[in-house]
Amino acid sequence: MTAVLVLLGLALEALLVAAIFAAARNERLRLASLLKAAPDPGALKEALAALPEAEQQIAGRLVEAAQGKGSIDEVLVQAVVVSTTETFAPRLPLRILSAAGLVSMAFAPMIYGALQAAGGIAETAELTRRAHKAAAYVEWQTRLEGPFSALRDACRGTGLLLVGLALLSALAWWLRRPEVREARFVRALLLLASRLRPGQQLPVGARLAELIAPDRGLGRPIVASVLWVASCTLGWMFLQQTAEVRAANGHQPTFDVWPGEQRRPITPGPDLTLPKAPAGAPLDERSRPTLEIGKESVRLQQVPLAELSSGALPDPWEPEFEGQRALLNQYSRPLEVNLLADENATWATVKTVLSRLVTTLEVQRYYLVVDRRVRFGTKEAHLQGALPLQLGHPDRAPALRLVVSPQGVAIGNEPSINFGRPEWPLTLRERLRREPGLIEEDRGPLELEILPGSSYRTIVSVLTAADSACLGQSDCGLPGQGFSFVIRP
Amino acid sequence: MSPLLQLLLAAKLSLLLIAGWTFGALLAVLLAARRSQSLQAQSSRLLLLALEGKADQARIQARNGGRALAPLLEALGGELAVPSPRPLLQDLGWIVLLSLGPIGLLIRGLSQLLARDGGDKTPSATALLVGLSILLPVTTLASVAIVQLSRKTARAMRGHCISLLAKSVKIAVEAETAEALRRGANPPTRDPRGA
Repeated sequence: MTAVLVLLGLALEALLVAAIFAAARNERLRLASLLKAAPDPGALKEALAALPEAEQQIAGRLVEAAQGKGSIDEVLVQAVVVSTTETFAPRLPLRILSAAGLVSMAFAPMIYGALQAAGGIAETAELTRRAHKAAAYVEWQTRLEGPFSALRDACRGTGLLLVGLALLSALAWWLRRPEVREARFVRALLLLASRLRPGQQLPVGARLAELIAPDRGLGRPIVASVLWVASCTLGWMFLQQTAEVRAANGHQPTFDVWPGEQRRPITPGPDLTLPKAPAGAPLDERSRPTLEIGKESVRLQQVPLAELSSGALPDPWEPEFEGQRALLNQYSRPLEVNLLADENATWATVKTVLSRLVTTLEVQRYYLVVDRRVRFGTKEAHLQGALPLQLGHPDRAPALRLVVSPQGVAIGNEPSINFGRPEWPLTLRERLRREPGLIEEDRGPLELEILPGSSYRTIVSVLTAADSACLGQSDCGLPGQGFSFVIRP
Repeated sequence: MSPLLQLLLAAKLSLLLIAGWTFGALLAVLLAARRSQSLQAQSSRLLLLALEGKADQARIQARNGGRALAPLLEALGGELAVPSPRPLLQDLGWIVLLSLGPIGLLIRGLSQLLARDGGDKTPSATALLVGLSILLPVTTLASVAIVQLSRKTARAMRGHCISLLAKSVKIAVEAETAEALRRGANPPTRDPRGA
């Protein structure tokens, strides 16, 4: 629509440019044919008839006087005076109406774009009234991207049309302003008088015409040039000042919003590398015990639960948990545990440990801790985020089911999104965003069905892709959308 | 009621600014039209007075009429000079005044959007977008209308000045002719410097 409006505006401006040139050329031709026809009364009558009505009357009176016997100087003076009061331009209401039409035409793309953007804001506000804060952020960012890009294009279109209007005005000023047309006509009257009465003295008429001739001095062009240079300089300074903002607009934004004391509260063991993920919320390590699944061992509050051999638990693994039970007494119930698992841990090991703790220690919920790396300019911040995961029957009905396989992830019975495509996290996020009710604050958890062969890293990737509030693949520093996940036994 | 309208109604002060400035722009154009009409009528009246032979009375009234009638006052003085052109920046004051509306709305809108109060900013954002899409064209159009009115007045006054100038030129040419004839009929017979 914006492109159509801009093209229509440009077409109209091109037509007006052609009309101005044509009108100026026709006027010159009419006056030239009047002068050429001066010796021939028949041709002169025809040339007079070709003039516009007002000019025809003025020139007609001069021709009539020249065909008589008296002096034509007085008639010429009258003709010149009448010419200067003749506007040589459309009537004022018509001029203002034309200006209204042209201004509306030039601003139409911007008005359309601004109203579309305002409509987008209103719709998104309505949609996110009950939304979770981070989900609302994602919704706002993705929904308004289109209307605001269109608004930027529309403003460029309006700018282009305004430049066209400025050129059009300059052309009209040069060729069609009343003073120029008047000077052209007065010159033609003087020449006509001298041709109709060769040798006749025209002292008053000629002096008057000389006095009112347009100013050809350099004053106005110099003032106009200075104003032009000043406006260009101001525009350049504005662009220079806003260069950083425009450069920043070209990158994904990052937000330094992580609470200072919760940036990286837990130091993982030496045999453990946390998976990197741009999702999860700040975690408070003091309120929950920590479970670590490293490359070599499993530890609860740094007390070993099992030694791992190539990432696998001993077979059989039947720990007593007596010592751990005493350690966990200080924590409030229902028990929630921070889980720090190595990024290469096998899902079988992780699931076995988590399930065992659920059955023996009555752990209600785990918080999968991930490593977040956010780049603020040249600095990189290391943060820790947590994704809530429940093993067991959910308290509330799940909002939807994600089926994770080693090859991909599917939402319910929909076709699977293949992990082989680099943009799969964005595709999953986009599909989840379209699910009704999923952005609301009181939504249910997302149920995970893990098919055999999936790794811990893959599962964290899926959780991250679903939860992240960042629009791109890189970490923007925002907490996730606050989804909670559940795996049925 | 549509969500957009609801949001706009929530930004009452911005709405008031938009409506007030639109009305103000219209009022400015009407004032300029009235002033233009009054100046043209005054100029015509003074021209008629001068042509009726009451040039002194016309000059006094033109002097009392203020700066706007200065070109006519010069012409009434009988000077054989071209009427002074309309200053390029004559209407700049009006244009600057009119542009304060959109600038004010922009400053208000941006300050509300950039404030760290954490309140709902959607009414301010919609009011800013809708307001600018109304005020920018309205202000531009009002500025164009004021410039057109001013040009029309200047042109009408120039016509009146040239009517007076024609009379002055005729008198001057007749005086020069009479002087030339006098000199032709009685050529000087002695050196005027001599005693």
